[in-house]
Amino acid sequence: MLDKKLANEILFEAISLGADFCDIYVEKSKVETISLNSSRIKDVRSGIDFGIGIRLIYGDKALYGYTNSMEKMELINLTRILAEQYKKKVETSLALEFKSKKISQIASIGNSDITLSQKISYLHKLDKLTRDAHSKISQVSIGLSFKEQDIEIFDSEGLYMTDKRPYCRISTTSIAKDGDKQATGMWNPGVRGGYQFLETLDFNWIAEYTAKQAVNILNAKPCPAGVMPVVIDNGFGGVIFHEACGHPLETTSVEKKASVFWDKKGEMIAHEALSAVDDGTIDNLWGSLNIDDEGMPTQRTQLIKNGKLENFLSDRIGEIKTGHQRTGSARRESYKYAPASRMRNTYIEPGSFNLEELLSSMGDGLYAKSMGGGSVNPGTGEFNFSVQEGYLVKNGKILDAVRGATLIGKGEEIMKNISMIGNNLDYAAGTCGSVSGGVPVTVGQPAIKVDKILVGGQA
Amino acid sequence: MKIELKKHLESLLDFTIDAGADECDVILSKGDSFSLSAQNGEIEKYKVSGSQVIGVRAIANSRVGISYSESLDFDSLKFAAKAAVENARNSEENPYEKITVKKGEHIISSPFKKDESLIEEKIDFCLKLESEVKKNDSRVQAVPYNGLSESTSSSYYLNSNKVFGYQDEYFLSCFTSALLKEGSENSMHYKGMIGRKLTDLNIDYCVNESLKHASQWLKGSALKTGFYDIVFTTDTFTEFLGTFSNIFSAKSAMEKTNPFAEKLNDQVANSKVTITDCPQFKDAFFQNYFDSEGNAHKDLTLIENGVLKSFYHNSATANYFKTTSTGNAARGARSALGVGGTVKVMSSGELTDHELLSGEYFEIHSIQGMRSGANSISGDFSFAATGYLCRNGEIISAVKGVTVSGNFHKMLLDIKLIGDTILSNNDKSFFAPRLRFEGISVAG
Repeated sequence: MLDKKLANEILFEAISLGADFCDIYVEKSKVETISLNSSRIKDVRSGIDFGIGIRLIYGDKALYGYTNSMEKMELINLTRILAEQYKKKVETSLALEFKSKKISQIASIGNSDITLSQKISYLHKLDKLTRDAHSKISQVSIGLSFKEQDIEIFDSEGLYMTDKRPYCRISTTSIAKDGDKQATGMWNPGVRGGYQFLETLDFNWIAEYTAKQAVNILNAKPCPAGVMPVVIDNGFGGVIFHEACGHPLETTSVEKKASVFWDKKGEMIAHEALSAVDDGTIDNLWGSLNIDDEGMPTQRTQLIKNGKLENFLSDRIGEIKTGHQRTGSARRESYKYAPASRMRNTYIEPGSFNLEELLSSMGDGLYAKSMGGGSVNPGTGEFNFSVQEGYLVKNGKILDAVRGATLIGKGEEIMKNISMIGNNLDYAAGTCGSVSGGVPVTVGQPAIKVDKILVGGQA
Repeated sequence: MKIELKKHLESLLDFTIDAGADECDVILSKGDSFSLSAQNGEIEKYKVSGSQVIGVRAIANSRVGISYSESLDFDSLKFAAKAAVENARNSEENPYEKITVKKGEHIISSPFKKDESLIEEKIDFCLKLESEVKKNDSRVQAVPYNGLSESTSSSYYLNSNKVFGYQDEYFLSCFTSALLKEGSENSMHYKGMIGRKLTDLNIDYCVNESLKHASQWLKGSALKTGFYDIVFTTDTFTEFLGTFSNIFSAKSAMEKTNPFAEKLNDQVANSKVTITDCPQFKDAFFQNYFDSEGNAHKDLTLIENGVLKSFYHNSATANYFKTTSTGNAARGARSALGVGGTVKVMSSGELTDHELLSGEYFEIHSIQGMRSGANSISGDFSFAATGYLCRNGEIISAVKGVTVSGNFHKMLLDIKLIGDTILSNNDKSFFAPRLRFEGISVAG
């Protein structure tokens, strides 16, 4: 995409203006989206994103700019504007022979020559199956999205890396209606891969799952409020760990001391039953990468081992500011953002208990079968999460469905209150929003038991 | 307005018709921004950006296709035109979406000139956003989020009937935060503001508000679980109402995701509630003149004396419901046709603050998890909140670590008290009196 000679001229300009380091991120992304609603294709969209981001580092300061232009003078001028505040004349004869590193590639589901009408027929099939799954389903919305991101990274140390990143995701929402009552069910799987992903899906299962979830919630009673034990089931339940512990372990927060764990490396920050990993190398997973957005091969990072904090997630600036070594975790939504340390596929490692053992040991409490979204303040560790599908548990037995439950607490506290880990590890795709935009991430966990947590609901 | 950019619109429009579209419209958005943030007494981040995107909506044989490009060279525009028509051909028949606006031209240039402060002054301003927080309270652990930014944007619209629109905007914004720690307790709050000149932005206000609330909440505790009267700040009420804004959307009604779809002319709120969309409300920060189909914006009464009077319509929803567009089409260069509001204004009631704030109530200053904890169809919500337990307008104690839950639709009908003074939210896009809700469930 970007001519290597021009890349060298930009890097030369940056270094001759005294920058300690410079990198160039070139992105061209093909985007396709199809939406279905009311059993009709609502819209078909496509587009091309293209832009170039230039980052200069002076000491621990990052200067970042971007443009849609490939014009030499535009790029050189952008570099000069960025350098304006810190520039110092440096004699350099930078003439880089860009070298790519050979890295192992993660496997990706293929992108066969599936036609647009075939894609549309998949959406109609899922729509029909979902409507047929229950008489109370009144509406179905389905979105199919595909993005193929081509990137190039050049840096002033002579690195030149390229990558092609395909992402395919289908989002389905069903609405159940009964008189004035309405409720939704949803399932949004995604892969780092192509349209062949559609061939791997069990559409009957998705249809029944979302329809059943909506109908169950339709008849749910308000959730009682109070502090109680909660069993959070696998897959998207991992969003709690992602928010409450994952974000505070990114050097983006650590470097500002805006993390409750910033000085806790080597200390017990969680129950000894808990071990957790952030792994960018898992085949096909939505948050996997061959290289991060600084061109570093991604890796598996043990975050917590038996309750002890082992590692943070670090990028180049994070390493400069905190000393924590880079972990191949520099990520960004697009060329419009400077890279920052971000999660990839983050999950709690499986334990030995089955779900029934977790529920029976809980006695009375809440079973969060499916979690909704949430957020955390990394500085204070305060988090909140909605329960998408929840049930009251009495004497270890699952009883009535409840709605309107929210789990709130502090990351430091919940990590110590996760006392039992199940054996049914599963993953779920999501988009994580933070300082460098929205990036594809996987959350995951087996079922876990939290001994006590505040459940918000009906007083 | 840049003539060469208008030419790109004309080219894309021509290419799309040449590619086989019966009609089409084109949107071009261009933006430039500059932002700074400080850490440990130095500028930590310095960002300069310039971007553009052009998008076309092609209609061919009553089918709609959309395509966009961030590159404006002729080859890219031709590719985008072909892709839009190809997308339309593969789409399904859509009898409602048409290019309906036949004539008109809107050229709105911002009356606000670019701030002429020197870069050194902006850097100094940004450094103070951090240093003033640290200087004023020894318990400050960090000022993790702070920044100053300057944005220029322009948007262009052209349809195949030659209806043209242009609007540009310019503004600055700043924010800071205070993360306080004392013993094992910590708390954080942030505050920001927007303006047209650097001198419009008030460092002291942002610093003091951040510190004041973070300091109070350091000592905060949960409320005992029970039912409380609730008063929102205007900012938190904006967020609360915004979560359920699909109640005003004709597009949601068309897609059967608007719970008020069949409630037009029904009582949906307290009979003293009137909400109007006012695109050029005199106190609003941004003024809105035309929508994404080239219609002129005009005032729209959404709720009058508690009765739902209208939805936001574009031409497609208007065709579907056999009515006329309210001039509320919303579409970006990348997106499909939707609907959207501008500045919402809620009429005042008759009660003074003294009357409205009598007795005990929970004043909500910050909401966490509003979107994820809300069901916009059923109206059920449950969110985490921070604020103050108050009595007769005075703070009794700081509150944190609680959840507030209920049903939005029921709350609209059950508004207990309405104040006599119109207040605005932080970015002056929503105007409403103080409202008091009775007996809302709070868990602590």
